[in-house]
Amino acid sequence: MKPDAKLVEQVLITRCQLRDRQAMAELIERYERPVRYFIRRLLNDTDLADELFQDTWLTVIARIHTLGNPERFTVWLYRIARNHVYQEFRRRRQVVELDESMEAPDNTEEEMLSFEDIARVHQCLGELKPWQKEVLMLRFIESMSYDQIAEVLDCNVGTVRSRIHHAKQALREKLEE
Amino acid sequence: MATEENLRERLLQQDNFDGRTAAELRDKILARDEAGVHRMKRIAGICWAVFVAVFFLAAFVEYFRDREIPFLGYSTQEIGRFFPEVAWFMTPPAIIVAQALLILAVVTTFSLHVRSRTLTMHQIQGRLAVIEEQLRELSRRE
Repeated sequence: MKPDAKLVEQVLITRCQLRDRQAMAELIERYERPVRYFIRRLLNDTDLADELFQDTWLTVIARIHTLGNPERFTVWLYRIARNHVYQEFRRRRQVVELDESMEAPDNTEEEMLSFEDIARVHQCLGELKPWQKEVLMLRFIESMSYDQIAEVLDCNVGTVRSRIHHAKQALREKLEE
Repeated sequence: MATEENLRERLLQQDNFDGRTAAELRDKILARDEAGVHRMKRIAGICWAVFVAVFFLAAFVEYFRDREIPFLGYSTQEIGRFFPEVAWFMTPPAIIVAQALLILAVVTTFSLHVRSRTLTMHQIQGRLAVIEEQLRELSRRE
């Protein structure tokens, strides 16, 4: 995020914490697309995803006064969205497997993903496991750092690195199928 | 990185083809939030009102248990023989209901207070100082 955009966002969040509804509307619009995309891809259910998107923002509005540092807003927002999605998984008794035994790869440099068919990416992304989808989206849709992703997922940076590597591999395999 | 940025934009754009606009969702969220607050206010108001009414009624029934009510000429004990619902106000279930109402009223009032909390002046000053510093940094760079 550019420094001036970051500043605008900080002011916006502060205004929201002062219960300015205009600012809340602006903040929702700002994050509407990436957060909605994140929830949709994790759930693979558009209507339910929109419901959870609304619930996420209702939680954000109700608890925004508890956010100490506005710079942490994105991480905080995604944590709330993720909690709502995982609550839904638990409600459906859907098993969310996380393979913690995976080794982090030696070569950790960012690999470029080149995709031709966006629709195919949507489809393949939807076929991945929830833990694979979430790391890919946080990294490539929200452009979060490994530290920020670790904070959202409540795990360490090494795990994030490993998950991203394996998720990218899984996505590539799906695309090549 | 440019490819990824481009991909991000295209993925997000294509995902919004369901016709439901951001404005529509935003308005719905804000309306739901407002409705939630109104509902809580109403519940708190009703609980407090009913609790106060039950409290005064119970106090009235208790006070006039052995005394004649001036405008009726009967005590509540005598009235209770004909109208058991009056006597009910002094029974344990009535006390439990009144206590439950009081708890609900306190909880909803506290929730409302928490929901309407905003930043303190001290916090706002802190934020302004950070923003001012960042603006200075930006103008120095330019």
